[in-house]
Amino acid sequence: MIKLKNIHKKFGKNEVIKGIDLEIKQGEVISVIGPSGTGKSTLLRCINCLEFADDGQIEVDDLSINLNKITKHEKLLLRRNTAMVFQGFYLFNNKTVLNNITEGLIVVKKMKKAEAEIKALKILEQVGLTDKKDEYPSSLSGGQQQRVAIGRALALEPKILLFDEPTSALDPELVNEVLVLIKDLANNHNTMLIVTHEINFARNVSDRVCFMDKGVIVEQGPAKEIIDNPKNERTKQFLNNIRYREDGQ
Amino acid sequence: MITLNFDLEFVLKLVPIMLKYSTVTLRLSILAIIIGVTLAFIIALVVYAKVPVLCRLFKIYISFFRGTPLMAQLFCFYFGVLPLMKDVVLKISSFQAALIILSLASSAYMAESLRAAISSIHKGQMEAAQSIGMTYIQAMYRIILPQAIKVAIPTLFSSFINIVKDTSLVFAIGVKEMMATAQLEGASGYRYLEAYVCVLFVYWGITSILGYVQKHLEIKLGKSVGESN
Repeated sequence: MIKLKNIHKKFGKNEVIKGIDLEIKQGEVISVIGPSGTGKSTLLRCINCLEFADDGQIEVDDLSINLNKITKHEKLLLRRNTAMVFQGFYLFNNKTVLNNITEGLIVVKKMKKAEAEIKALKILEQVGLTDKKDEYPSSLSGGQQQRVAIGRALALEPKILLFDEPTSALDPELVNEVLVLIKDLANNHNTMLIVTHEINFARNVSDRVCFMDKGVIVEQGPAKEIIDNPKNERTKQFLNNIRYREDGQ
Repeated sequence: MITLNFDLEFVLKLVPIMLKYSTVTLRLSILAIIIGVTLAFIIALVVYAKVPVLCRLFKIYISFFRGTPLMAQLFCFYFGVLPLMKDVVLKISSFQAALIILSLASSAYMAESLRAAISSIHKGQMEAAQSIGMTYIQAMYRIILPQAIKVAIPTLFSSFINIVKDTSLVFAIGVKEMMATAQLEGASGYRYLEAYVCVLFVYWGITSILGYVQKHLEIKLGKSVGESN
């Protein structure tokens, strides 16, 4: 179980996250939706310690970390218990597809090379890219790169998978293969926190949806309830805007 | 009237002598490259990571060695600084003095190439490495540097070639290498043209080998690193 308590983050004078509380149960899939610039990505990056929150607390199972006086060791612990899938994929360009996945297993999990490769091959099968194992990222399509990136995160068996707009950088026709994979992971009860602009996907895949605006969670609840019948005015407005765009009206 | 008077026989006689002294040039170049590159890596990493105090110092170091003539550095060190310290440190030969100055000066240039190359790698690479739990040093060593070195190869090899050429200055502090020999031999029979043509070709030969190595390294790294996004 992951618990976020009162997370705050400022960039200079600009307060991006203004006190976020969120509890994510094991196996739960939560989508975070909301307008751009409301701190959704920053929230994920704070959980993964790519940004350092100014205040707040994160609990991952027995591990409880105070973010305002986090130590180097705690940062590493937090990163090793969480894994991030980026909008821009960020596969290691100097490593083959297989080695992108074994890298973390060997360096971070201290697995033997042979053992790591067996595990990586299993993961590649799961993301459907076994035949690409010896290719370099540059020769893969965006969708394939993102599937490898998901595999890289998955291989480390994190307590939670964090997705930062995983399909936003993809060509429209490549979006689906990534969404299908994420849906698979959801069905397999991986704990996931997904920042996305794919509202229908969020509705179908997640157990819970959080609507974020201006650094706070404005409304949250069961996915279908929030997206079909939002109570909050701001949520209604946001969802309406998106539907207008999708309907092409 | 100018008559073409080129004594080929004299050149042929000079070649073995030049090749003998080219070992001094080569030894000086190779050692300066190794020491210079090592220093450059340390400086580039410290400056890139903005390590307090050290970063400041290295920036001044880079500015000084890039901003002053090599010849002046050699003279100042060998004729100025070393005599002052002769009671403090072991006696340093002119070869060692030349090696120290060449290494320091070239490291300043190479540190800048390396720092620029590291900066050119997308910050997502570091974030991805850290997000899976690698430490900064692991990420730097395993993910960033291999990609940065590929970017830096052309400018690093330019520096290597410059080091080889710069060794021709060290005869000024009394290192007996190719230039010194050419001057001596040229003077012995007023055959300066032959002597210096011979020197030029030996330098050209050495730097051509470096160019060849660079080309092959680029092809090899290009394959293993893949095109970066």
